Amino acid sequence: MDKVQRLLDPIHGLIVFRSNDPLGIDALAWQLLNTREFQRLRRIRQLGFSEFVFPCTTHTRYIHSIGVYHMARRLLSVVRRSLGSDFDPEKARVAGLAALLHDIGHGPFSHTFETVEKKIGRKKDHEDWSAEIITGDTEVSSILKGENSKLAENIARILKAKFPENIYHSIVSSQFDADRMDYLLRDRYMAGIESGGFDLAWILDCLEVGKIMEPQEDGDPIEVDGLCINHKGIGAAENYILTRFQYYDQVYFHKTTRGAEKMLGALLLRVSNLLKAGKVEETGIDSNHPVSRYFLQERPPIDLYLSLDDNVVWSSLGQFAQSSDPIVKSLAMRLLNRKLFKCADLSDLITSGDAAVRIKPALKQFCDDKKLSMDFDVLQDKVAFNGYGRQNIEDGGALKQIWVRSKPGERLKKIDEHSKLVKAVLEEKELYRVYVPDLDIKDGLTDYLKEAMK
Amino acid sequence: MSNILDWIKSVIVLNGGNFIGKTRLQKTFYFLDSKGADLGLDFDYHRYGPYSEELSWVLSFVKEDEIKVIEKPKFNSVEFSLGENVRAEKVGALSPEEVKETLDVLKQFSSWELELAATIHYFQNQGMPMEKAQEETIQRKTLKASSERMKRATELLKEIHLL
Repeated sequence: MDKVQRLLDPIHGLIVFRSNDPLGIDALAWQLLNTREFQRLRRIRQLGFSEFVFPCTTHTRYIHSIGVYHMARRLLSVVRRSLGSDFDPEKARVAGLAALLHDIGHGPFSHTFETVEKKIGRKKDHEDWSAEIITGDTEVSSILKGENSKLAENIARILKAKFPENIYHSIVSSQFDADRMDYLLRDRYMAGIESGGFDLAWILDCLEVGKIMEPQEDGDPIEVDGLCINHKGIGAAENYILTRFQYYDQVYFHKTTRGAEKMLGALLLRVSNLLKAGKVEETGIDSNHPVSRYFLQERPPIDLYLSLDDNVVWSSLGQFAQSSDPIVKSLAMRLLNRKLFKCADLSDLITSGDAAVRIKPALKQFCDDKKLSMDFDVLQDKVAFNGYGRQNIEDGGALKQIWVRSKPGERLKKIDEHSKLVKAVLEEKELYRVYVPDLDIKDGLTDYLKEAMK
Repeated sequence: MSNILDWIKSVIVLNGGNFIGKTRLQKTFYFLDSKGADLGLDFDYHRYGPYSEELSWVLSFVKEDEIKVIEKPKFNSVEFSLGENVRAEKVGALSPEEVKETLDVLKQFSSWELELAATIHYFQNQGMPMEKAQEETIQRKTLKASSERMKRATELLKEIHLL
């Protein structure tokens, strides 16, 4: 008998899980939703500190992940429609579940936490944690292994790969993946932004599977299946890319949000340093606090990682504000009361490769002169992005680009070869900002660097 | 004192005045660092294996009078080139001769082989035994990690004495 579970979502409307769905994964997905690891995502916000700027962006990775699953099912229908009898239901099942679980390994405040981890020499990122949660000693893993001995491993493999290698994988990671389609719609709605946006239904109707050539810089290209857009969807795809560019510019890399993230990163780094120096009593939290236990372990196990979430970190800010360490205390008080560091946007000072390498020693000289720390007082933020989002400046990656067929029967082209509008937003924008405790330091630093970079 | 930009220029000069591919450049710097150049760069795992954000950051700002960058859209790639009057210097702690020796070996391998080799080495550095590091690489790069390329990637690591 068909068992049905229903969820209401302001973005996608009614999301239904049917036990007799065509791919046979809804019942499993519903079970996964109810694991402790997935429920933890209710306590990790999708946009971290963005609510300091857009007060309603308090939505969590829990509902986002469900939205991504819903989008993945719709995209898999596109693949089924295009491939016909070549459609592989088992690969589609793996992709659908990978979409649902794609964020399961996020730590508190997501990328901020990951940056702290890197600074203290830990190399695991959230995708590695996702893979561990999916294959390790967890409720998620137990459900997946109960279904099929290879299922957990195959899902983990997709999430760790970071790069799409076939059409099913494209559902989880590509320019038209389920993640992007959900977060652009959801973040826009929650932020209350009226500009931008794209026509999801139109894009889905115009998507098809095409043969894309994955080039090698020094060898023959390899032909792979990827999602591409037909001639009727080009306008909608332009809006989609434009929206991404605007959101990266105005929401995700907003100077205030980034500043708060940098401050939390500095605070957690300081706490970690104190803990490692055996000064737990100076942090404001005790040695049994999940944050202490996590940072004190050289290789923290999954359970300890899962004990951390945004709520744990937010609630510990009150304790950090009681710290006897002036850095911890000050950063915690500022974050609690939204008294943020001041932002000096110095992007215009970097005009060449030479300037890009000279600015750091100049900044260090300023900090040395003023006795300021580059870890805790003067916080650098360097990001580069374009209409495809945050850029990793390497080559290739055909499946990470948008391909269009400008006329029926014509060869596929990259969308920027067809659209001047897209070409413009695929130009990279680089931001270089420095966050400092007050306006005097900001003015002094700006004057100093302008002079030093002449 | 030399810096990343000088190191990039030296690598291009020692490679014969031009260098194709940002991915190849990233992996080359990873290998040089692993061979003791001590560049002070952090390499984290990204799409194509170990990758330094700092290196990318500097590359994104280079101007034509510093390094000429020619787009190769057919290959989704770029070619870097330099005039004849640029002199090669040390790259971190490695002498120009040591760098050239490594570059001459790397030239014999494709960028995908470099990517696979760097990834295997990266996971080994994370404490994985060789077999596990190879398995992890194959899992993450099924499209590229054919048995022939994996064999070549292992040979590459041997030839530059990282295995």
